[in-house]
Amino acid sequence: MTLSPKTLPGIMCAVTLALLPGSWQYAQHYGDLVWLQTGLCISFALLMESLCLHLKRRSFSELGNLSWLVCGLLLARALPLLTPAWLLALASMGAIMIAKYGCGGLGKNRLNPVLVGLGLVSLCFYQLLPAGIAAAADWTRSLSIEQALSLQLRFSAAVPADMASGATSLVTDQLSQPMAMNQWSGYLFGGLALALLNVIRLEIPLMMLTSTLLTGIALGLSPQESLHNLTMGGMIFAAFFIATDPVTSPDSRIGRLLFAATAGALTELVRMYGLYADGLCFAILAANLLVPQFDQLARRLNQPWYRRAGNNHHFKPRRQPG
Amino acid sequence: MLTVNSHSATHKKRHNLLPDWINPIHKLNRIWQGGVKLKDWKSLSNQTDIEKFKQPDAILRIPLGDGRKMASPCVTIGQYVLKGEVIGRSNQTPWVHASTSGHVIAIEQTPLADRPGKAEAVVLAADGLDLPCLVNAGQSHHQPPGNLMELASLCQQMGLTGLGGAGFPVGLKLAGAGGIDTLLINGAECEPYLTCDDRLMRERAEAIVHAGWYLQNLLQLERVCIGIEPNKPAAIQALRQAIRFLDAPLEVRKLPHRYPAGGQPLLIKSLSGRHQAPGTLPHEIGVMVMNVASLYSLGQAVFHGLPLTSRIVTLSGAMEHPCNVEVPIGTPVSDLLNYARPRLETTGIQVGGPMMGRDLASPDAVITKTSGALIARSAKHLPPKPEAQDCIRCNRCVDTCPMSLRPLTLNEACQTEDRQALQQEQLSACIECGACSEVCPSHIPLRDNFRNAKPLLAGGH
Repeated sequence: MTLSPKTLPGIMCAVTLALLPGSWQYAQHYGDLVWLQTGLCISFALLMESLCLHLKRRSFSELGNLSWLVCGLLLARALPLLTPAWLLALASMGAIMIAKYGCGGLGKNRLNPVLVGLGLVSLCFYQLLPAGIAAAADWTRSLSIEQALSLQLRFSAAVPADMASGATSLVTDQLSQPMAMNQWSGYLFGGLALALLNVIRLEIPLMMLTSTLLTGIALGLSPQESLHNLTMGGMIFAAFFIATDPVTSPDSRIGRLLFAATAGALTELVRMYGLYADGLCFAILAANLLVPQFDQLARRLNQPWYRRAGNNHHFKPRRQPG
Repeated sequence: MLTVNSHSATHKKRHNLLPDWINPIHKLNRIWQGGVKLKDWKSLSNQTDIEKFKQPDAILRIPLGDGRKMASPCVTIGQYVLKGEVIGRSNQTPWVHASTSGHVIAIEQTPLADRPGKAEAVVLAADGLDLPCLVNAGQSHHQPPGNLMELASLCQQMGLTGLGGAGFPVGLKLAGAGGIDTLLINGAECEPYLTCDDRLMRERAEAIVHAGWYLQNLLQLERVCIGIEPNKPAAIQALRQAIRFLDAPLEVRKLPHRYPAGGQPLLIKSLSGRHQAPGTLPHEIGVMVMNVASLYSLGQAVFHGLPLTSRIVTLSGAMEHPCNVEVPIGTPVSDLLNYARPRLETTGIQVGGPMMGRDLASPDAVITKTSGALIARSAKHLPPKPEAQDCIRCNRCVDTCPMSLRPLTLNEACQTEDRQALQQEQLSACIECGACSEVCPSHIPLRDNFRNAKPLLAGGH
């Protein structure tokens, strides 16, 4: 397609733009602190990327590929709101310094950087993460930017106890509550736009959602409940923007389908039986680790066309004339 | 007579109800997957007739081979030769003929336009008379050869090589083609800018059809098929008219309009549905592929006794006078550039197509039998590639590769020079079309890396 971005910064810009409708909806629901968190995450990502480039003695012109922008934006969306700023910085460090540059730089990591950052923070510091934000949307909307900033600069999350009523989950409460339509349709729209622009592969989100749905039904949920599950937490967001990261997904269509099916099924399994409320992070990381195996399998299943016979049998060798 | 192969998948009529970009399954409908649509820039140079390049006082340096296998010179310094007289002989390679009449003034090394390195060449000071030599090597060719071996040796003596780019000797190709049943004629010219085959098919369609028909009778072929990309409607029409006029049992087929439609395995697949495995030759599956220009020169040799002493070269890009010229072999590139006058903004010269060709190494280089085009680079035409960035494994190269390779993993193997990985990723199947480099958003020179890694593969055990 002619509109498809043809350069690396172009691709990163397209992903950034595609994230905006979802972010905007999110900000409508929770207030301006969404943009505050976005700004913080992007700044930390830029800082970390510059630091890594400096440590690796590479040129700062590599910042021009804008991969840090997408990484920061995705981190901001994946981490719960009002996460303390130092945890945002730690997540950025986990994402960029450990997951990305620890593996040798852009394109060489096997684990999704954003999920490594998220996983690091939610595994090590889950008590410090805010809980019950989803129930406190009215309160967050009332916060001004200054108030929100002062809350984020504290050591641990500061959601008033009465707001965080109900059962607190271990990871991110934001990811365990069902969301209204207006919270995920923006991500769906952005994701479909990216698929049309040939930036992401549509088979990954489609297969992942299908697999989650079917696993839910197989585990005894009714189809309606299972379908409802798809709108829970960051499912749509993760399926379209996290799992489709080309670096950490397989290199062939069959491989990608296997990868997405694994990630989807694991998500549902963790949701049903796991210790954590939301399995997306761990499911996709586990599927990331299996990518070389999926690729191997796909290679064996799908031979190139010239290894098959085609119409070759129409040729009957005969005696040379003359 | 022609028998239509009804089993061929390519005979199905393909309808597209929806535009491609909203039709999720349009790619499944393709004859071969992958490839890339390129802006073709053909109208720069295909508007005017082929011009004869004449330069009365030229100094021609006629190479005696392509730098690998050479003919040995059979003229002495000071000797007067006529146009078409044999100046280099060999048992294996095509003979070499004088491109015009004049005196031999030296035999020395010369750089070639489309190949790296130098080759031995006969330096000829033209006398401007262009006197033709009527009898070649003691044979008269008013009677076309009646069997394959005679034809193969005639092709060798007439200096015929493939004019498509690879430069495989036509005689050798014919000698191995005894048992085949299909001749596919490559008029795809799928590279941007190039229009020499386009103009040839428009202006000399009858000679091409005549030569194809002759080969069909000689080799008792079931099918002779000319494949042309649909961006050359005039050429298609000219050939169809010529076929109707001569009542020849040939057919003209449109190829998919994607680069590299003219790549040999893809052409065979599109036109015959047969699959040429890498490392095998087309005649093993009963097919011979020949470029239209090579077929035309074969016709000239067979029916008129004319050896290959000139070729049509496209002059295009940032030139004042873009055109196609029929150039004597051995003409210095600088003379042609004076003729076409590159514009001031020209930054360099590309020899051959923009995808498969290479930079002109030296302005002293001479036109060989395989140099099809000179393209003046500028900011608008073939701009320089930006610096390579990191691979983000976006998989566009995998989607684009017509040979179903994985250029991104292959590139990793090239960088580590891991011979086993190169074999596993089937580097040998790469046809070096450059489609992967074209679509790479990080501008990684994938094709160049593969080209450089191929000797590594050949050196292994």
